[in-house]
Amino acid sequence: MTSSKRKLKVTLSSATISTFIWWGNSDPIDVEDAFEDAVDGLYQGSLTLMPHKPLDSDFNYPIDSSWTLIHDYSELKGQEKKELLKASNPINRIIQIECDDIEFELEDSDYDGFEGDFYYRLKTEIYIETESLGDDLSESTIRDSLYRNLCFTEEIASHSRFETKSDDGEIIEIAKKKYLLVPLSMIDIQSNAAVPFEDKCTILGQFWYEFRDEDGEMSDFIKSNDVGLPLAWFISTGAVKSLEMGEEFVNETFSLFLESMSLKETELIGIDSLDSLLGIVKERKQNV
Amino acid sequence: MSRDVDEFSDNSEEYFAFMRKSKILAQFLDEIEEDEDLQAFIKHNDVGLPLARFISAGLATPLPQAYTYVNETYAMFIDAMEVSEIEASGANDFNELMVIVEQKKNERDAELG
Repeated sequence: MTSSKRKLKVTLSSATISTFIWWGNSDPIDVEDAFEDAVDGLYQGSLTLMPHKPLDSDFNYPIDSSWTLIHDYSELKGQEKKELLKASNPINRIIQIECDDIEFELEDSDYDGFEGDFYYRLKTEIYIETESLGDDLSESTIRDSLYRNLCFTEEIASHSRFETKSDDGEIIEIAKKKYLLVPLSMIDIQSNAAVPFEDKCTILGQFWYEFRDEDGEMSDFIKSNDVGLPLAWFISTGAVKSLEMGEEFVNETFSLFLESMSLKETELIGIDSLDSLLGIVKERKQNV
Repeated sequence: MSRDVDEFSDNSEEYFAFMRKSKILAQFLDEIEEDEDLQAFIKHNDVGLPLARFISAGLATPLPQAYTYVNETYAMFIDAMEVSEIEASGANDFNELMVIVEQKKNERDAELG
């Protein structure tokens, strides 16, 4: 049986978070330095499932007023993000979500050296593995599910210099720690993203370096790609920078490489090493 | 060698010298690739030789590491040919270098009588 799984790369951004900082009587400090210091002490953000809790009636979910929380507080603590998401996924055809690092983006600041407000968003990229999209699992369905079930969580520092809030968020307390739950404000689904050229070079370069002296079934492929493979290695190790004609060789070799493994590029979003690619091949073999 | 690639602008003397070396090594590799007797040299220079080939063919542009590898391989190559870098600098390609190598060999033979 041939699997029709595919991966989607999705960028998630939180609603705006504001942090009020009071810097006391210290000397005026450059705003950016102060903000960096503040973030070092404050930011503990993560992406989690919405906790299972009746919301305050005053709370307005920005997208859908029927927002329901279906999971327990305990899921906020101590679990791997992808396991947490995988285990309780509301759409059973979304079979896995991987989450990269969470970043923050400063939107605005107003700081006079003693006190000020900082406005920022949390942002991350996730990879969602799904069965092939059909009428009943459209991008809008996925988007809606993400809105309903995911939020960013920011641990609120107890330090008196900070006061963190979001107009769209809510503060909850778990095990004597306070958390700000911030809903998503933007979901950008990139369904046709190709494997970046740098990742192709990494994958092919690792393959070439690993198998170049082997006589087995790989040797024919390595011989017939005696430009694309070593060139990818040299590019990935930083010995050379590719030129247009070199990129064509590497791209062609990468296509042949995928063909030889019956893989499609759309299945490889988020795959950036030979090990992770071979993991997909292995998983597929087990599922056949 | 660990100089910045910025030191070699596309029209600097060093850049042209490097490209000349790359061209000679690439042509040398084309000539001897299937030669059983020279497999040890090819194996020993399995970075510098293909790098020279890719750079010479216009598939990639060199970064500092590449200068190091190609220059080392070139130095080893002309040493094996028993000519100095200065003597070899008059050659623009592999064939011209072979002419110089032959001349030098004849001169040495003549001196030995």
